[in-house]
Amino acid sequence: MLDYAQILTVNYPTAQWALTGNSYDGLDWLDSSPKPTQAELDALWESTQAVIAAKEQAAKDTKASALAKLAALGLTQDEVKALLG
Amino acid sequence: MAVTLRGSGQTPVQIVSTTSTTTFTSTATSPTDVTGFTVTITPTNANNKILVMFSTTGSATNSLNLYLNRNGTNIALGSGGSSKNATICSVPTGNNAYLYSYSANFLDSPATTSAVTYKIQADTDGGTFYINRRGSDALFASPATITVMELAYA
Repeated sequence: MLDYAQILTVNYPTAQWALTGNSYDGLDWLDSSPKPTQAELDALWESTQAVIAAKEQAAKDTKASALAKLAALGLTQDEVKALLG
Repeated sequence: MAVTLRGSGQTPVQIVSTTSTTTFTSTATSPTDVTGFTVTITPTNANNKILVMFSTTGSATNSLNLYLNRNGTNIALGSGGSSKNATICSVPTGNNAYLYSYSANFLDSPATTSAVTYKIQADTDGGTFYINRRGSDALFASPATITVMELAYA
């Protein structure tokens, strides 16, 4: 389901806005910049999902890389777990 | 919901409560009304106290500050915060996949028999904050509740 909070967070990170619920009617634009139209926001949903997925994958990759480096240093999985909590 | 009770001394006189399941998301950096997070009570005696209790869940990409507001004035604030003085200051991990619980109680002395409206406001020091949902997705939902109890202080 289209998520306006995600769309706004990803694409308008520096603008001031408030969103009640998950509909365009609930968007209160507090910023001096022009309020985006519903069509403009709707059109950003697909790319927003891609950005979020890429961020999640990057975080997973970073974690995997860090774990691999620790393993290369000789740490066991239990030791890594104790280290990271 | 409103409940009227009878008694004297330091006893409950009436209780009013509002629950909102509406999500609220914002980047506001100054206190902004959280939709639906408000309740109004009319004290029966100006000497009586009002016990305000509220709870909600939320998350943020940076910080989430909650303010208790009475008739347009923020009350129950911290002091000495170089960035914020709020009723609740929260600096989550920066991972908006987490959903945190927030609650507070405050014994107020509005000293009036006119209607008193309590509401919760919120802001952030940057990024986005979320009320009644986490930021990463809408998989989890929970209500925000604000309850006020008039206590007889005869």
